[in-house]
Amino acid sequence: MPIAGVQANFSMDNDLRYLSREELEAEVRRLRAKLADRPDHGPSPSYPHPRPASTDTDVLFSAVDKTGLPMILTDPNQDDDPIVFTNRAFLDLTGYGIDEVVGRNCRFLQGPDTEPDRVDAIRTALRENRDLTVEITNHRRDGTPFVNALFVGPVFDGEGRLRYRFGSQIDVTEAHRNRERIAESEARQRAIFDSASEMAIIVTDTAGTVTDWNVGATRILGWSAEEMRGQPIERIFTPEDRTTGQMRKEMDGVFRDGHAEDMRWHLRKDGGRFYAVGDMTSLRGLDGTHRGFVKAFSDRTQERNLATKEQADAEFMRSVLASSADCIKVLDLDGGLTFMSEGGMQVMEVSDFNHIKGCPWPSFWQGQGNADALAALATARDGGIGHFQGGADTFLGNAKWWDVQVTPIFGPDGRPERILSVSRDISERRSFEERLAASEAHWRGLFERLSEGFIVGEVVRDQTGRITDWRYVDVNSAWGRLVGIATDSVVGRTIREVFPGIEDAWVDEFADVVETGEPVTFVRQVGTLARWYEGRAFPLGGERFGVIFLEVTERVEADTRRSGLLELGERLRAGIDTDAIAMAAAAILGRVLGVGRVGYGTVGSDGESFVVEEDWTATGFPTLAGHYRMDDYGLYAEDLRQGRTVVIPDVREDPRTSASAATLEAVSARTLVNIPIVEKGRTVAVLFVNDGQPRSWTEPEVSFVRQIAELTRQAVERRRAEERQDLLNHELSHRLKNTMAMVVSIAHQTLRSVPEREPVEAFQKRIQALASAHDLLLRKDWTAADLRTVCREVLGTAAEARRFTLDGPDVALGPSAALSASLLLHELATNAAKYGSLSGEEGQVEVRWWIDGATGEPGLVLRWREHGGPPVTAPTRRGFGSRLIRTGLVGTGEVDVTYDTDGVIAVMRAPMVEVQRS
Amino acid sequence: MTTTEANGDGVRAVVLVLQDEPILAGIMRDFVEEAGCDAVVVRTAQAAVRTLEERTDIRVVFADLDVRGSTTGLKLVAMIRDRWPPIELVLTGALAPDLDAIPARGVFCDKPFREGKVISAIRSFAA
Repeated sequence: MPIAGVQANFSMDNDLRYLSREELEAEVRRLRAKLADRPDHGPSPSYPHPRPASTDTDVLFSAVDKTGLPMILTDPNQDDDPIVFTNRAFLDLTGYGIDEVVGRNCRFLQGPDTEPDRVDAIRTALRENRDLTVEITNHRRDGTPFVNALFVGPVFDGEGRLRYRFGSQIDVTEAHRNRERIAESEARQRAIFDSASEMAIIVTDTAGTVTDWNVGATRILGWSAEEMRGQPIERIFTPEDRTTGQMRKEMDGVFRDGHAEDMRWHLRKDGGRFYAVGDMTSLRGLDGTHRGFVKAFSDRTQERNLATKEQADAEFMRSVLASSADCIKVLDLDGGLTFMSEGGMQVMEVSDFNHIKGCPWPSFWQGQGNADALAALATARDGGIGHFQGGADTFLGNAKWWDVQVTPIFGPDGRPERILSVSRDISERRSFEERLAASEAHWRGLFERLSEGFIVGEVVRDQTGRITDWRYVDVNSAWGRLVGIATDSVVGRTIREVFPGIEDAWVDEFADVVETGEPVTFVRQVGTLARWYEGRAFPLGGERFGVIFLEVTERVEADTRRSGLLELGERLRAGIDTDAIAMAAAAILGRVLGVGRVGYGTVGSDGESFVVEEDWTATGFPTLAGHYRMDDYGLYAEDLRQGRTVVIPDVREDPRTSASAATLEAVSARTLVNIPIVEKGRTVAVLFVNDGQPRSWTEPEVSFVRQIAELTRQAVERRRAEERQDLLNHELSHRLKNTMAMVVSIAHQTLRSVPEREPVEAFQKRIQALASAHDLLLRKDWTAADLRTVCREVLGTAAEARRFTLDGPDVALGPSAALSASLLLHELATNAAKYGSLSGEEGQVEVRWWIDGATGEPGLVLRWREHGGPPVTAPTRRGFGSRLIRTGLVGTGEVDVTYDTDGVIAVMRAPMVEVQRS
Repeated sequence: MTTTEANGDGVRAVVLVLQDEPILAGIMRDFVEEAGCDAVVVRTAQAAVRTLEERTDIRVVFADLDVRGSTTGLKLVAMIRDRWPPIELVLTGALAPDLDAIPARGVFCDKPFREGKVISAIRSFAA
């Protein structure tokens, strides 16, 4: 936009195109002031015709025109405040032609994305004649939006009349996007900070006071964030390190080198020590200022103790040094260059060291720097440390400002032999993007060093807005290790693409995290990988979420095996029969190992025939039930006959089965574990585990199969012994009962002619009472009989149940006590029926018993009380019956019988140990 | 053995006694005769089945569940219920079996026998 005659009046010699915004605004203020000084020459308000009359106005227009900053002037004195002047930069920015702009109100820049509240703010500022800077979304001629950092301000003439309005526009769309990137980067950093439990991340202020403390720090060090916030970070240093001011050294290291390694023993809350490997860096604001320190490390105590890990640490050190951007030089004592590090050559822009080899190093420095360099060199030569800052050009002539440390390298004689110079480029004020990248790189480093897998995901929605999948946005290298997939192949793909057929929960649960904003923890298997993962998913804002996780397959499988053993133990305690024991074991094995088939086959005495009655199979897996010849299936039959466990990951690969692989695969046995069950030196059965896919069996899995086999074998053996015992008991009882039946019948026949029937019947009934006690004992395998049941059985033969009251705690009687108690109660009942309360129609007997511990040794007390019968008197003659009664519960006497007028009362006492003796 | 009670046709009812213990078998035979019936004694379950197959006049089976042999007493009892439903059962044994396992209309008499109970059970079934 050339404007005639303006150049001469415009006195600035700078090229306005390179003015900063601040400078431009200052320039505008200056021009405005000038205008105010010359009230007589108001500018003509339209462009390009007529020309502005005032030279000062020309100056303004000229300034606007020449600047690279898009600008407009509007005339508020015309209708609708039209644009009267603009420049090329504005037209370039907006895409309009000059004729489409001049004469129009600038609201044509507004569009669908324009924020109404910002428009209102501008209107208010215009009305009140104020300056305003505001960010507003405007639209170009082609409709594309851009974020406009708009400055508007009034221009007054000397009499304070509003002449123009001035507007400048800067496209800050990119800056906006950068801000969003920062926010996202910060969210992820925060997530790493919050969730990394394997790595301690501690943030301090510049003085080393803790301001932030993550879960990893709590896990490794023991102190909670609450305990440590506000505390000096020195607390985690060992007393030795505190004495030597290690913390200070690290801080100095950060200032000197940008970071300081922290590979040393630190203290836990409990006073224990752990070996930390990590580093400390400066925490910088986005403006580049030093705000404090970030210390990040993991607990490498275990690794520390392993030589291999030490080597890895050394490698880490080397890589850290190699990646140093410092210019590290070795000088001879005269200051001649003998070596420069690779990083140093890069920052010094030296392509070939030979170009500068031997050059006197102090001569690189200009002015004061040269004197400082010579002084530092002298200091180092004397064994001290020289330090200075100064300017030096790179080999290609770019001026830079350096921070330099010059130290001696001592020879074997302890005298400085050579000189080490480390220069750090401090001239470069990093651009915004570089700082962001550095921050990113720092966090990226942490991200990559996490031993936990980390995922940043973004949900994928269908047309209805429902979340059906999610996409990998970022993963760390631990992810690749834990999942077993190359990390570079996964970003950009969705989880359903990466793992076809994955469980829906892997999508649904993370969808909930995004929908609700609530973090979740999970322990779940990826079936297709046969691996288990435990972790935490948390929202990252918007459609994104983060997941941090560890693989816990071994732990989960060990847990499953443990609960499998417990379950079998419970099933065995339930007292199932031998076949059911074997099936329960097979089902548990099959389920825990996730295989197709588990079962037992019995081996014939020829060591060749193999019979499977029944087996456990997964849904759809064929059974092996049937008759087989062991040698048809491979050479491992001999191993089994010898009692050796056979584990074959793949029948095609094993030399014992490669020839018979087809036969085995015909019964779906591509892999197998066979455990021989040996009895008396002969393999009598085989526990087999089969699956249709090859499988590498881990040692814990095989030993789990062995454990189950052994438990089952023991249980079966025990159950067989019990069954034999049952049989024996039954047989014994059978014979005893037969004998009693014979005794009774023989007595009956023998005493047929005796006229007095009473003793004969008494005899028969006593035998009956004994027999009923035997019955009770038999039910408990001759170990014990319940006192209440003894009473009920014996008294039930004497009278109806309604005439007895039985009351007392559960007491188990040993066999001897059960027999005596039966006889004793029988006698009492017989007497009651003959003479006592049961002789009439209404009398009652009350039997009560309790445990009496008053006399020291606990004893059983049993009281027999008759009432409601005829008056009784003590018998004059003592027969067998009363002798039986006086023998007592366990043959020790302690029986007290009183003949009360109301009825007989008998109180019996016996020590509990005797009562329960087996 | 003074009772000579007969059924309606004047023919004494026949009771099959299963017992492998000779003295007990004698005692059980006495009970049957005391009840006014004729006794046929066998010593194994197989023999009992053969007898039942050959004779159609057996009204009651008085069996010990614990007789030795490949067929247990309980299996025999189940078979009788299945093949000869009208036959009545009086059972004995070392232990009373599960109540569910006693076939309908069966009576279990514990050992040693209460003479009166056994005789009245046989008599009522044979009538």
